[in-house]
Amino acid sequence: MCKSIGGFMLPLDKDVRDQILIADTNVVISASAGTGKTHTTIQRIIKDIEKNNNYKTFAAITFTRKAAREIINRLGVNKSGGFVGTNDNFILSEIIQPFMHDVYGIKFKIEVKPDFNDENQIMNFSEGIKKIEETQLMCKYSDIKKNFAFQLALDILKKSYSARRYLKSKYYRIYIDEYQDSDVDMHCFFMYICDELDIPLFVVGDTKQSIYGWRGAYSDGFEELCTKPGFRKFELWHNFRSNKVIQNYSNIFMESVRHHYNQTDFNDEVIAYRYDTDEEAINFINKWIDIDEKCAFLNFSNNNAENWSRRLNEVGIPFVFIPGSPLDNSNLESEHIWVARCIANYELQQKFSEYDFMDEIPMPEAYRIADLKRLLEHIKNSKNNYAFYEKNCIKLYEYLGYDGNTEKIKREIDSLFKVINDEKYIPTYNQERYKLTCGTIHSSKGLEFEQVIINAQDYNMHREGTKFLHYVAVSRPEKRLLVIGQTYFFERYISYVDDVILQTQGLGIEINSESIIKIIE
Amino acid sequence: MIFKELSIMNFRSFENVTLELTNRNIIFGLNDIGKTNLLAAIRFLLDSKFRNNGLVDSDFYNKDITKEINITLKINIADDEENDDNKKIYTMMRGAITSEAEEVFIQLKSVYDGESLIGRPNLFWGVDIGNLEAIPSNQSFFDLDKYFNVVYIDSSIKLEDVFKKYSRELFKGESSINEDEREELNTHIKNLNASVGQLNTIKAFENELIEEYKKFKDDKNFKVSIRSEVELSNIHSKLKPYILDDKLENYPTSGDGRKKILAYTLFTLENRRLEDKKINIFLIEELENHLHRSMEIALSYQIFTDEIFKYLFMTTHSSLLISQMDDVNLIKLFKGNKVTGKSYTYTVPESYKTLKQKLNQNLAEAVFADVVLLVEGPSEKILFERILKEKCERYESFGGYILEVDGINFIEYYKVLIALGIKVIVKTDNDLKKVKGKDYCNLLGVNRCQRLIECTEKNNIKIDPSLYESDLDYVIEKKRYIYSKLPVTISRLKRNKVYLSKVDLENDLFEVIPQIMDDLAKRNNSSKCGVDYLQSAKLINMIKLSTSLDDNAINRIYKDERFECVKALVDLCCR
Repeated sequence: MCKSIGGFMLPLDKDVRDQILIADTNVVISASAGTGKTHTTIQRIIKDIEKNNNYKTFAAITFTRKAAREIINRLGVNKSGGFVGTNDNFILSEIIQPFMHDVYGIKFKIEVKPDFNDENQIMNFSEGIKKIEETQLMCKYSDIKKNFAFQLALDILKKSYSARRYLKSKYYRIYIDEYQDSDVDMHCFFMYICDELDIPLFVVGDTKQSIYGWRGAYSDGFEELCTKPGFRKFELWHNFRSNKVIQNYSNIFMESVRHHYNQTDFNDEVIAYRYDTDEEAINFINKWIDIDEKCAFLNFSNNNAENWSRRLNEVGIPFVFIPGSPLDNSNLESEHIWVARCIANYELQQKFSEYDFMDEIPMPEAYRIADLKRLLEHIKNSKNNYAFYEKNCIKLYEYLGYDGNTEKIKREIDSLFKVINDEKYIPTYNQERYKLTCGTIHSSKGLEFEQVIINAQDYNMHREGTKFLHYVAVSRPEKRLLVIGQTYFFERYISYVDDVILQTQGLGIEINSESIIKIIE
Repeated sequence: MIFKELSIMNFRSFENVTLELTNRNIIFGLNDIGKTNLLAAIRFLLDSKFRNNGLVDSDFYNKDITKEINITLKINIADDEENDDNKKIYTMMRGAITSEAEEVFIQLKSVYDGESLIGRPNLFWGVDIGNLEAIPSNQSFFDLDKYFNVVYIDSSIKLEDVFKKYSRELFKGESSINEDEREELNTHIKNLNASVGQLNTIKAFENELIEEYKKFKDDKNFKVSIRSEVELSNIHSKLKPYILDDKLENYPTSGDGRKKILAYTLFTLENRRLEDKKINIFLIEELENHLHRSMEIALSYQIFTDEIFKYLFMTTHSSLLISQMDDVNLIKLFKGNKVTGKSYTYTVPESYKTLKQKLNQNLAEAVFADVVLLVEGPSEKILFERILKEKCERYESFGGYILEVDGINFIEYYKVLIALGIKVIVKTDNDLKKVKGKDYCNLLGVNRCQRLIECTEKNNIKIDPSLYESDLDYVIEKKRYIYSKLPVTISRLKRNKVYLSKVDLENDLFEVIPQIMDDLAKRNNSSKCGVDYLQSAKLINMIKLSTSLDDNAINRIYKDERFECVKALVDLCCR
């Protein structure tokens, strides 16, 4: 897979990666799973920081806090005043909070706090403005496919000269990760930044990996960029994670990268097994699995994951069920949910100390490790008494600058209390420690395992977004993939495989079923 | 970006002062008037390192810690939207600037806290002075501090110290030494360290040390080695700047002047690098100390032409240092009931660009005075100084100064000096000027005075053109006639300390001391009358006259209304 030069492994698409580092137009990168796109983005950011040795800076905008933190950690001291954070955070702190008053009047010179609570839903734009005035909270549309915050940010930008001047003066480039997860309002916003404010963009995405279709992700937006004038398009396809067979298998399901199919020897790396009874499936897994290497059994639902782990344990294969944490439910999303998640990690995850907690604080310089440790210990020591627990948690929230006496925070603490007092969540917070796990596809995004098992019944390719979910699942393993399927579901899955083989052959590629999957019936 | 105004309340020597600013500001005034305090106010506002320790009780006006210190700077940000410094401000202040704003304020307030014994600096900014917002900060580092770099250069600057600070930066960059250079240096250093270690003296010392040690404790295995520890990482501390002379010989201890200039050079070099990132503001105190006049003039050229000094606050007592001034705001501090200040933005007038040296040099001297007597030329100065020797010999030490306009319009000096709160006395001739081709004459001298005090000019008067051009006495009589016909105007001018001669210096003087002047002519074997003799060789003969004046003559001149300007100077100086 890799050319070896001077002992270093170089990716086959190195020339593309070199180009990406120097292209000074708008840049759009289509990158498959495991191709090291974050690494490439960070290399580019560092290069640009060195070049732009003036007061101007950059913004690196991500979809999740986790991704933002990864960039911050990798940039280290190089960050030099740049903005690194989530897209919600970007528009809130750079546009809505500072400039809303410039458009809507002095009464909006307030600190608007984020709030994605279901109770705070609005029907239309003007209702949202009124809501902000009354509550100082950000709100959202009841239609989850529309994004109020980004509509508001764009509205402010269009009407506030000062806001436009600010962004133009400050940023020499904006980097956006996981663009395929942007919804249509985000897309419009970023296009305005690029077209009207002339701030160059560096956009990374992968249409194959969008798993947020249910809440309005707009993959057309990303595809539009790929052909947009003024944008140079690059494609990263060298997968550092999986072996060639796994890469081939995941690629042929996706039209856009199907042509990267590489001829290679097939040694049963991908197996499809048809079963009638669960016992048959269990027995086959038992024979197939190499229990000395990591294996994840990825399911669509929590329930299925729990069932399979129980059945596998009954025959002595120690799969650990990884239930999704209630603290990760989207209705709890808020600016401070990270506090509850960190407390859960502190209590449940081994080796998660107050120092790790410190790393999660957006502005850690303002806090003292000794104070943090004391507050966390008080929380830990009151885990048996809800009233004390809540009181101690509120103290920590307040120490971190939040008003601890809101309903939202109390509800967070309530969920947190349940999580830390329920042993079944211990594995959720220690996933990396287990060799054999049984969890959901969503929770596996970004993780990697030597072996992966999936169930054909989870993939009805005619349902919107399923193709992307499938891509995420089958691109996870490094070495081996097992697809199990019961009768009808198995037939359905195999027909999909036949279908994509045909389409790949249509590209003039020599491929047949035997060279990509071993079918056992 | 243009600085517009600085106001200071309850800070050190300032109870309440508001000063107009521009980007280059020269601050002058007597010793202890508070020039350094003015710079300190700016440092508290814009320099994080200076601000960090907070304000102590002596920073409060009269040590009155019950009042709040307030330092507010007004900046225009709408002069040029493409200007990088404006863009830095837009970036820095975010939503604190509204779309229509042209000016922004940056403010420091501090209330003394009796418990911690300091006043914590609180910073604000915005566009509405009545409604500023707190500047976001991270502990004691404010958002402001990312964009302003205050360079404070004080008069005791030492080349060695500046260089030490600077040389540390020299090898900091990754690419400052390449691989080959590094290898070569390391080899040399290794050899050097080895050679030093092998020196006989060192070896002998090691043995002595071991012997001595054994007296305390008999330890057979005890060994000691003295090593040289020159390393690549500390090589910068061994660097020293040498100033070379013509023969390229080294003078590490060359004169103070050149060392000082080199130190400034290092300062500017260092900050030139920062210019792209930050707004450099230079605060310079009495740069002139220990410098030869040629050095001062050289620095003056540098300061007023180099873009790096575009934001400058400089205190000085040196007229040479400001001799090249242009587009500069002159700030003069005074002590009345309280310390106040007046300022004037001085730009060399377009029509004087070629005469800049002369205009500036005189002005640069005069701005340091409190009372300035503007006279036509050297004759007046010689005569008046002779009188002053008797009446108020030390007038200059009391803040008086006589400035010869010598061909430059009075008004160019007058408006600058008046704006700076300097008391100005004017003594000028009652000149007439015939309008070409007409039988009219312009009241040049009268109107010159009228313009100074912003009164309407007088109309031309009718003359006999042929007499005007042929008969000098006719002209003199005309002048006397005009003077006598304008009593109201003349007395208004006097109230404003503008003194018009009845005719001119020589003719007026002749009316006071005719005998002495005629005698002088006679004594020098001249057939001319006193006036003509004096005017035939103005400078030389005025010197002769002045040296021959006795007390009696001096008194007569001094008391005469024609020379009231001298008395006015004495009165104002001795007050």
